[in-house]
Amino acid sequence: MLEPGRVCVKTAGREAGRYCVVLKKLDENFVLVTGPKSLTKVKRRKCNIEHLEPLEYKLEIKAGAEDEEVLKAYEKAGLIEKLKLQPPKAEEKPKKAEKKAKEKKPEKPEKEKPKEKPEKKTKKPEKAEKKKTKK
Amino acid sequence: MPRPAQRSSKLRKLRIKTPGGRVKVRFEKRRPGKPKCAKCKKPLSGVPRMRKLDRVPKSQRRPERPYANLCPTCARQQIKEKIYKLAG
Repeated sequence: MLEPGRVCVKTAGREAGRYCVVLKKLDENFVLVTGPKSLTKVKRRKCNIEHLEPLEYKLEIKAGAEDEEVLKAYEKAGLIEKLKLQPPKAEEKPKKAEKKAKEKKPEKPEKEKPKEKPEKKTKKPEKAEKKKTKK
Repeated sequence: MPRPAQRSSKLRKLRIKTPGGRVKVRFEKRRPGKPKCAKCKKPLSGVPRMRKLDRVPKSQRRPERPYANLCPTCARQQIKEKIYKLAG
C-alpha cells in the first residue's frame, strides 16, 4: 500500500492532518516521506507506517526523488487544485511583510489611546472614594 | 496564628524553606482539575496543571497538533473521519 509516490495524510505529531508523499521504504516499520515542505509544510523525514493514512492518489516519481521533482509531479497530476493546496511563491513573501508593517502602525495608536485614557480617569475617583469610606 | 480565611481548607498549603532555614507555610488557591479529552473524557497528558498558565510558553500549554483538546487516539480518529468525508 505504501509504495513510492503514494499520497498520505499524517495522523500523529505536530504535522498531523497534513498531506505528504512516500518516497521510499527504509524498514519494515519506517518510510521516507516529504510534503514537500514548501507545499504542505511536511519536512523530508522518516515516518512510522502507523502514523500515515494512505489516500487514493498516486504520483509518478522514482524511489527517493527530490522535492522539486515531487512538486512537478503534483502539478502534472493536478492534485494541488484537488486538495486545495497553496503552491509556493517565492516573490510574495517580502510584500506581505511590508503590508503588515504598514497596516499595524496606524492601527495601534488609534485603538490604544482612547481606551487607556477613560480607564485612568475612572479609576482615580474610585480609589479616592474607597479611601474616604475606609477612614 | 493565620488569619481565619487562611485556616479553611479552601486554600492549599505549601511548605517553603526560607533562606534562613526555617520552614514556613504559604497559602495558595487550589489547583484546577486535570484537563480532559473532549471526546472520551480521559485526562490529557503533557498539559500543566496550574492557575497562571500565561507564565508558561504557549508551546508548553497544549500539544502542537490540530485537535489539541482531544487525546491522541481520538485526534487520529477525527483526522481520519475528515479525510473520508473529503474523499466521499
